[in-house]
Amino acid sequence: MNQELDLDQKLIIGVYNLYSNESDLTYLQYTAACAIFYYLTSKELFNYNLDSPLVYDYLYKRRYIWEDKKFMSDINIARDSNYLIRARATSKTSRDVNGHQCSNLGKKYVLELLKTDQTFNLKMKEIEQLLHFKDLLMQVKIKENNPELNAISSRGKVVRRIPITGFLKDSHSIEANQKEVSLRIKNIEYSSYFLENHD
Amino acid sequence: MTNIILKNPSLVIGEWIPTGRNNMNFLNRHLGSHKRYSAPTEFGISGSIDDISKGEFKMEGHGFYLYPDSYKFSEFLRARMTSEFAKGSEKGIELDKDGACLVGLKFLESIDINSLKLLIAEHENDFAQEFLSLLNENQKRLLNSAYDVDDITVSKNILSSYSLVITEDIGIQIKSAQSFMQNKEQMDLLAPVTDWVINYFSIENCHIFIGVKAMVCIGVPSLKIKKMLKQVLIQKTIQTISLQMFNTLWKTSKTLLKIGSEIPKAPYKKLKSFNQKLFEINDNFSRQMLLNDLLLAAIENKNEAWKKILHQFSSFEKIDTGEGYEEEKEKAKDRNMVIKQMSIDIDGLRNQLQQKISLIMTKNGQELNLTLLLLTLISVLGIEVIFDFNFNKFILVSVVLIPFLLFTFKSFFYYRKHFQEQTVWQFIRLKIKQFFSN
Repeated sequence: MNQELDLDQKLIIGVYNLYSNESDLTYLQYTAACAIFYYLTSKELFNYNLDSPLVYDYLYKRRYIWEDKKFMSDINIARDSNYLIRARATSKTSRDVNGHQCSNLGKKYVLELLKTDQTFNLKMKEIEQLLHFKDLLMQVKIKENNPELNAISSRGKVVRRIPITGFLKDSHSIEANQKEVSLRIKNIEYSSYFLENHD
Repeated sequence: MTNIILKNPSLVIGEWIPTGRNNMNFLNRHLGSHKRYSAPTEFGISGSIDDISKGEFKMEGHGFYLYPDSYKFSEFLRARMTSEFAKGSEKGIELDKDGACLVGLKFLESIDINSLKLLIAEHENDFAQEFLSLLNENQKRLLNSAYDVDDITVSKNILSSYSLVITEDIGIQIKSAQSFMQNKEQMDLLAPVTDWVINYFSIENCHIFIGVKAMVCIGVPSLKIKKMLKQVLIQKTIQTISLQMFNTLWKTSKTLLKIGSEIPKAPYKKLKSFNQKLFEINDNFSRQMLLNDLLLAAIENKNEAWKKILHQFSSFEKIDTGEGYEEEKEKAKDRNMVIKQMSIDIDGLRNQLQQKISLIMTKNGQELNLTLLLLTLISVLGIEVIFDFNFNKFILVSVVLIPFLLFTFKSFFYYRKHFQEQTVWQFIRLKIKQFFSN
């Protein structure tokens, strides 16, 4: 509960505070959160490993998406501190969804940090700049080929679209910048292996 | 988080596919396992032959090459596989009549755990595509029902596998699996590959960590341990497909709920599509029950093999593999009950649907009656004008028409009052609006 959080963990709560709220009953899907933090890591706001895959729900399938274990562990530390609430929400037609929400305590904590922690304040400003288009907070759209950050006007029109490339880690969606990693891995030689000797 | 290096790891990926002795026998015969060929046979070639009376044929793309190693016709096949003819690295594949499909590779260099995870993803994907092309149409249809897809062969990244990684060393001194997991600095080191580690134990200097997605064995396993690991891998693979099958049922229950809530307000066309959907779900249920029975039979066979394995270990050797075949048997029976329960729901929905469809047909009939009668009235009045009926004749015709008109209007209003959500005035307004918009 009173664990001292590191900057990454504080910023995670800051980002969740932008997208979710206990009082308003708003949540952020974990898949969408991974997409946001992948994007922020690619902009060097976090120091997570961008090549870390995880098998997880993505739209209607299980796919390899990005998730660094340090990120996952940071989320759990934020939960242990009661700043984030994990939720499992039912969907009408498909799988149920894992999500998180910034708790009221988390919101208070972020407001306090913005006043007292200069580094946090500056980093949050950078993050907010990246996640906003004009005054609009960009929403995550989970699409088949890759997730996108969309700025949606009050009329419901998408006025800015940022594809988050490299987030999906299955071989069909590996982007050019990752092909090098994929090629290196593919070139690792192997031989056949059986768990039992031949009869 | 430390990116540990696994020394020359071996990887075995497992998948459960409905097989049985006949399919196994067919595969061995097609491969010519008994012929002791030293050259491979190509399988999984893309495309199909349109006309077998033509001596020459052209296919769309190469498949993969199998070199049989050992077999028992209707029991199992062990073979080496390459993706290119006479070159490239070989994988070991093993299939058995109970549906356990394993692919094994030994990497010839040390690999960091994050790269290994990517490698697992790559090989899982290749594995799914390669194995699927070995299946016949019946097997594919059963898998379609388990994964709730129209065609499993075109649905990429869909098979849910479980993997086993064996490595001599991860560069960290390990006293026991328990002490490793109790150390907060170490407990998540294997997580990139295993996901959450649920069960762990040490046996014969091997430390075994069983996670949600994969299991890791650190040490040099003896043949006895390898056999045990193989059985655990198959157990976990069966758990994975069992979870997938229940997930599909879960999704279907939501579809039924949605259909149930929409039937009262659905127009005719939608009702027809619901009817079709219910038919498909019912059809899928028959396959799911069959698949469940096949899985149950496989579980029972594998459970016997597992018991024999456990007999080889002394009671002091604690083998904690978590939930096993006994629980899977119960789950399979439970799934059959869920399917039966949902079949009852479907019957209810179908009755509701039929009732609603027949009401709409009645309504359409009533509207048609009204229209016909109005047209008759107009025609009669037209005839009256053309033939210049006198007042008496006009009254006579009108009086004859009145009971028909009253009957039709009365039944029409009765129908609208009792069976439709719209009031009569809403209906009239709608019709007028439609008339003017046309």
